[in-house]
Amino acid sequence: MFFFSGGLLPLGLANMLSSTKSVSGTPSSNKRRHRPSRPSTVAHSHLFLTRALSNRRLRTKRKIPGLLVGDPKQNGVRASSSGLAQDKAEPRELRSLVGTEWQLSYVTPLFRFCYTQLKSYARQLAAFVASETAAVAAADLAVNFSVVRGLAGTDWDAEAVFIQISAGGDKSAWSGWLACVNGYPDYLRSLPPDFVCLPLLAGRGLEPLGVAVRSWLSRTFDCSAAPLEMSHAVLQWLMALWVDAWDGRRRQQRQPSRELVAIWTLPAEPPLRVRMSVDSRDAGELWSSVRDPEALREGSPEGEIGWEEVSRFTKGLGGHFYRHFKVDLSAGNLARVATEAGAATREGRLKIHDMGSLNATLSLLTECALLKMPM
Amino acid sequence: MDQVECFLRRLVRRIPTEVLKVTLEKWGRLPRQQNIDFKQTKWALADELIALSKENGWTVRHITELEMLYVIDNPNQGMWHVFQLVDPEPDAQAVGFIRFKEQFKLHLTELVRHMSIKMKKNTDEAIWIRIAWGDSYSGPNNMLPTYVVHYLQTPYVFVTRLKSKQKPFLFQALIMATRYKTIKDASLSGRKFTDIRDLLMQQYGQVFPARCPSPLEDRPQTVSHPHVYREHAKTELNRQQMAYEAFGSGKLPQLQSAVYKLETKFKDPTNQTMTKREKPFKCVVTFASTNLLESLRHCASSGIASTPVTPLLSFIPRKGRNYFVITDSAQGQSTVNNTLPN
Repeated sequence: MFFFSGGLLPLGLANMLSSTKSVSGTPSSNKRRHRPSRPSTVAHSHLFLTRALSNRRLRTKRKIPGLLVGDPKQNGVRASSSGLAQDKAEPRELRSLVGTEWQLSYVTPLFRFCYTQLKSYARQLAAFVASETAAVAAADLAVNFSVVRGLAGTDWDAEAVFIQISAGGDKSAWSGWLACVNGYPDYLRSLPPDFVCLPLLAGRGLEPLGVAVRSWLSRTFDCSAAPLEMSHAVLQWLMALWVDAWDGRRRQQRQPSRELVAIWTLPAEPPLRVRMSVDSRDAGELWSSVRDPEALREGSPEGEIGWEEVSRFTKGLGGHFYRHFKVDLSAGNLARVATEAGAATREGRLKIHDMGSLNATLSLLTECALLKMPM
Repeated sequence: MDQVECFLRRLVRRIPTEVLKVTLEKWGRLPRQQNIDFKQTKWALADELIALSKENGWTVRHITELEMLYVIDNPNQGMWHVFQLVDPEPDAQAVGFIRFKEQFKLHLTELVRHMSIKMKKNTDEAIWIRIAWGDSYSGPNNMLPTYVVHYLQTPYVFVTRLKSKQKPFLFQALIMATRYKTIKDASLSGRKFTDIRDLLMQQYGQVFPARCPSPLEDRPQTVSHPHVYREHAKTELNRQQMAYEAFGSGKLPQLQSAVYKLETKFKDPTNQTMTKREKPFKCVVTFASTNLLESLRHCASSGIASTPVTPLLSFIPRKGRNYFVITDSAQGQSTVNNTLPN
C-alpha cells in the first residue's frame, strides 16, 4: 500500500500531477496496440499520484546501449556508451550482477530511507533476521549495506543499494540489490521528498532469508514487496534486446555460441510445453530482417528498437512454427527465454550473462516493477 | 558377502516398501515362518534382510533374481529407448527362445569379459535380459545393469541404461542371436515402458469410430431452451472427429516428449528478406507434457491446433516415433527423415 504521512497532497502539487501527460517518445507510441499491463479500471482513488502510473503501459521504444568491448572477466568492464558512467562504475559489484540467477521482486517507494543510515539498517536487519528465521545462527550473522554507483541511469534515479547477509565468515547466505534504472522521470519527480524509489529488488540465496528481508523492508519503510512476474510482453522485449546485442556482436565478428531458446506453455490438458531452440545466426538474421530500415543505418552508435519490431520477431518465430505444426503459439504464453546474453522466466528468475545489455535489461525491468506496483 | 550386503541395501533403499513386500513374496526365497516387520525404517529392514541373507547363504545371483522381478513388474522407470532389427535372414522367423538364449550369451561373452547375463521369458512372450557389464580389470557391475526386452517375432528391442560404449557389443550380440543383418534406432523413447510398447505394437485403443460421440450429447445440457442454438456445435464436432482420427480415442499411451529437428527454409510472405535466403532456418522444437498424445489431441479438438492435424504430429502415434528430422524435399515440401540421433 502506498502511504504517506499527512493525508492528501497539497493542492498545487495535485493539480500539477493531474495534468501530467504520459511519457511518449514518438507519435507511434500513442497507439497502444499491445496488451495493457494492468486494467485501466483499477485505481481511481483519491490519491492523485496514482494517475501517473495506472494509465501507463510499457514504453514502446527503447534505447539500446553500445556494444561491450572486451571480455568482462578478463579485461575489466569497458562498455562504450552503455549508460554506465565510466568514472562512477564499481566493476566488482556490478560484475557480481552478471552470471548469477536472481529472483526479482517489486518494491513500492521506501518512506524515509536515508543513505547515511546504512550501518544502522544493517544492524536492524541482522536483529530481525536472527529473530524471525532459524536459518542462520545469530552469532554468525553479518549484514552489510552498501551503495553502488553506476546503475542509476538518469538524475532522478536513486542510487542502487546492495545488501549482503553472510553467515560464518565469508560464506554468503543471501545477497540482493535494490535499484532504479531509467525510471519514469515525471513519476519520480512527483514523489514527495521523503520517498526513495527503488522499485526493483533482486535476491539470491536461502529463501527464508529473502522472505525476511522483504518483510523487514515493508515494516521499516512502510512499503510492500512482492514477487515480480514477467509477462509475455516483457519476455518478448528481453528476447529482442538480447538478440539485438548478439546481432551487434556478430557484426563485430565475434561469434556467439548459445542458441536462442524460447519456451511457451499452451493451455492444453495436460499443459503442453513447446521449446523452440533456434540457431544463433539464424535468429540474428531474422531479427535484422524485421528491423525498420532506417534503424539499420551503419554507423549509428545508439539506436532504438520499437515494439512493432519485437512483435514482428515473435510473429516470425510463431509463423515458422505454424507452417510446420499448424499450432498457434499465441494461444499460449512465453514461459522462459534464454540467449547468449541472458535468461529469464515468467516467475521472475533472471540471469544476465553479458555486461553490455545490463542497462537495457534493468531499465525494462525497472519499468515492469513500477507498473506492477499496487496503486 | 560384502557385495551382497551392498547390493541388497541399495535395492531396499530403491524399492518402495509396499512393492518390496510383494516382490519378496513372489521371489519365494524367504523362510516360510519368517515375519518381517515392514513398518520399520528402511535401514533396519535392510539389516534384517542382510542377516537373513547370511543365514540362508544368498548369493549375488539370488539378489539379481529379486531385482529382475522388481523391474519386470515395475518397468515404467528410467528412460527406455527403442531399436529396430532390420533385414531378417531367411531363418529369422524360426528363432525360438532356447536358441536365442544360447546364441546371445555365446556371442556377448565372446565380445566382453567378466559380465553376467540373466534371461527370463515372461508370460506375454517378452524376453527380459539383464546385463551387468564388466571388463578386463573388474567383475560385473551389478549396481548399473542394462535391461533389454525383446519380443520374438517382432523386430523391436527396448533398452534402458545402456552406455554408448556398450552399445556396439549389445547390438552385435542381438543381430547374431536373432538372425538379422543390422539394427537401427527406432527414434522412440519414453519413461513408461508399457506405453511405448503399446504404442509400437498398436495395442492401444486406436479405434476410429465412424461416428464420434457428439459433444452436445456428452456434456450435460446447461441450456435447455429450444430457441437457443449453439453456433459452433458443428465445427466443434468436426474438430473432435479429426482429433480422434489422428490420435485415437480413449486412453492414450503416455509419451513425455517429441523432438523435431527442423532444417527447412523460412517462408513468410510478409518477410521477403528471410524468404529469399537459400539456407535453411535451423531450429529444434521439443513438445513436452506429462501425456503428450493427450495434450496434442486436446489441442486439436479445442482449436489450438488447426485441423486436419498436420502429418508431423499425427506421425507420432501412426509411426510410433518421437524423434524426427524435417528437411525440404526437391519439390519444396517438408519431408521426414529416418535418421539416427546419438
